[in-house]
Amino acid sequence: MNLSGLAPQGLRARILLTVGLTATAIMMVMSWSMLYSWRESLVSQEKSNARAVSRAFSVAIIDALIFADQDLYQSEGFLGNYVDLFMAQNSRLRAITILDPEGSVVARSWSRTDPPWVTGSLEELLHIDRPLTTITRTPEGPWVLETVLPMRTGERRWGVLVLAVEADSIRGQIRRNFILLASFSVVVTSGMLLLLWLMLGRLLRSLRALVRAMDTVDFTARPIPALPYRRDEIGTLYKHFHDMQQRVEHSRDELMKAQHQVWHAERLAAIGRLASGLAHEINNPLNGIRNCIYAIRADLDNRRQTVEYLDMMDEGLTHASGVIEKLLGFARKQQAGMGPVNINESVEAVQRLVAFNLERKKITLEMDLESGLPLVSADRQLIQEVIMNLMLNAVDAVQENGFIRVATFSRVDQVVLEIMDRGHGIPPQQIDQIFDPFFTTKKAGEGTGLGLSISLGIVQAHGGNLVVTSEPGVETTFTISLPAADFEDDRQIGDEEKKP
Amino acid sequence: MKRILLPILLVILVALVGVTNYLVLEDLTDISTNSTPLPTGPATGNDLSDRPLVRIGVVSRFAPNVIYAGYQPIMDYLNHEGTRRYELQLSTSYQDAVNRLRDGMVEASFLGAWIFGHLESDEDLLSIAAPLNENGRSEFHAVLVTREDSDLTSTSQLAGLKVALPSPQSWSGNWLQTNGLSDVGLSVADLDSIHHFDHHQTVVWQILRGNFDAGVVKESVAAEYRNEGLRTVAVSQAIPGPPLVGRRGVDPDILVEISTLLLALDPDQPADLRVLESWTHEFSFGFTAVDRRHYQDAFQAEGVNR
Repeated sequence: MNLSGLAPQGLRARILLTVGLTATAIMMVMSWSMLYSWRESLVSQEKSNARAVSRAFSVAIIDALIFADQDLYQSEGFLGNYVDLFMAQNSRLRAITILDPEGSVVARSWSRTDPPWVTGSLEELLHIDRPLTTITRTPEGPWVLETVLPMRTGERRWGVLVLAVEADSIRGQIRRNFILLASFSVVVTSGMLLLLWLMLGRLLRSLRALVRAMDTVDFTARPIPALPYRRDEIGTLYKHFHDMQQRVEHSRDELMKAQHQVWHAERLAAIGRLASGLAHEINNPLNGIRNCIYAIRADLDNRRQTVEYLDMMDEGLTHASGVIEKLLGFARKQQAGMGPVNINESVEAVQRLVAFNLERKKITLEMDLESGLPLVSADRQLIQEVIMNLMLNAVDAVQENGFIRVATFSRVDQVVLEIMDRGHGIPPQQIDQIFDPFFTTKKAGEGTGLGLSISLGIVQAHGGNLVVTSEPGVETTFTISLPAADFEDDRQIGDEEKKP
Repeated sequence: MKRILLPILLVILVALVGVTNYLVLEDLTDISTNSTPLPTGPATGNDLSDRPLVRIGVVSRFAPNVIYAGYQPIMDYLNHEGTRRYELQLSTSYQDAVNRLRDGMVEASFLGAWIFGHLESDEDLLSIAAPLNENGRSEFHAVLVTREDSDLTSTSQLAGLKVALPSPQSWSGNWLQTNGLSDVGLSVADLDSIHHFDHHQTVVWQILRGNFDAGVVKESVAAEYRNEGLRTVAVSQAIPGPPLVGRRGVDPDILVEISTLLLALDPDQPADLRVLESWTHEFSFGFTAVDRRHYQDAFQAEGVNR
């Protein structure tokens, strides 16, 4: 059975469980050691006391036995009195038995039934040559501490004194001390765990505050709000987190700068792709102007012709200027910034730029833009760059007299832009790679391989998504989804502005 | 599942702790200590029951248990080294000890020097041996003692004081009356009172408890209580040590065995020294042969008479 999964997940619970188990084990072992040591001391002391009492009592007994041995007195009466008096004066005494050297009972207390001792057999008692103290449980139930004292002077044996003291009180003391120590251990362990619980609670509250701060951190806020000051390790953690926030912010700024440079480069690359169409668009008025100039030179005196041609030249220059203006408008590196963007307007702006490329290949462009489309919160320039990229790709993909369809519509809280071309399509084995940086199917020098990758990055940076579906030889559709923004007033204004 | 198992695991742990503690408590309260084999030795020492019994008497100068503590080791030695079974026989008085010897109730007896020296001519009693002192001579002294905080510094200051003495049939019980007082120009009449007690130790206790101003005991007894607040004021002249006396009607082999074994103890021999050192101070320097005339001469020469 794998018990690892049973470990509590909370830091506080795990620490408390570990510390609790360890403390309990240590307290138990310490308590047991102390109790065993104390028990040995207590039992030893009780035995020593019992031996001392036996020895003291034996002095009178030996005197009486000497008198009896010398026929000076009848010892039985003396010994009986001694035993009774001694029993009466010591409430812990349970039995006294006096044996003569042959093993006959000379005197004994009346509180015991046979056998009057528990230490050993009569034969064993008579052979004991030094005091012996034993603790045992009597067959009747109570525990007794029995001292067997061989009474002798030199090698003269007077008999054996067996003195039994109740030992249940010893066990009672042990039991009381055990309960006392166990209670103490429980109180100490509980108190320690409670203290630990409170300290961990304080620590974890600080950690939770840090986590909340991490969860709610706003990298766009200037300056980054500082966490509360603390003097402990948590305070150090706060400080390091704040420093990390600042480093992340700095890195993010650097990244954004790099990203904008890449985007700008890609925009310039798109301009390059527009160049052939634009060159044609500019070349036509320039050729007309050149013809006009030839005609004027050939007939300088023809004033009416000159005036007519100058008008034509002006018209041609105005057209070329317009083309260049549009191009500059796209290429100009503007200040990036989020704001309400009407996707339809962006599509139309791009459409005007790629119109020359469409015309060159005689491509039919179908625009199906949904009226009243919600606005999106976006960087207008970046969104136009994405649309430009996708439309140029579509232009590149279709043959002469091809077909491209651009549609916008809203779906739930999304604004969707679809760019479909009936070009050669994308092979299934390449469709998962087309968003990879530097992946291109074009010839060297015709593409950077970054267009789709950057487009996907821009869309995702705006909280949207860019997906592609393709049927080779039939059609390819790129779909941009962007979250609709709540710019109710702006949308209305935008729509009103669209109206002629 | 984990939510159920974790509390179950905790309950099991708590139960485990409880059961373990219960078992420890049971073990702690099992204080029985009777598992070791009983120490054994001979039930009655050497089996002497088949040996002929020889009874040795002792004058009642000490309490019975003190007499046994002092004289039983000598019996043990005789039992070990001899061929007979020697046992002590107590007496109720000095005279009772003499009577028991004369009446054949004992074969020999440790008598007092005074009573032995003052016995009427009795050719049936034979002195066997007497203990030596630390100087290797068989002589001892009676000493006048008082409490350490007493002003008494000499026998001449005893006038008007209460004096405790041991048996009137002992040298210690007679020295003051016969020699001690007269030597300093006093007589018994000058004292407040004299009281005789059965045992030397009783005399010491009476003085230490303040019931008597001074007393006389054997010097060996006074030495035992030197550290208990007893101070020696005066020392008697030396008299022969207390003799072990036999009776002529006794099997001579018995007296010879006793005499031979006791006189054979030589403190200069390590084995004998070990034996002697285990005896009471009075007998720890060995024995010497003595003659009854020494006692008679000693008391007559010193002018000591009944």
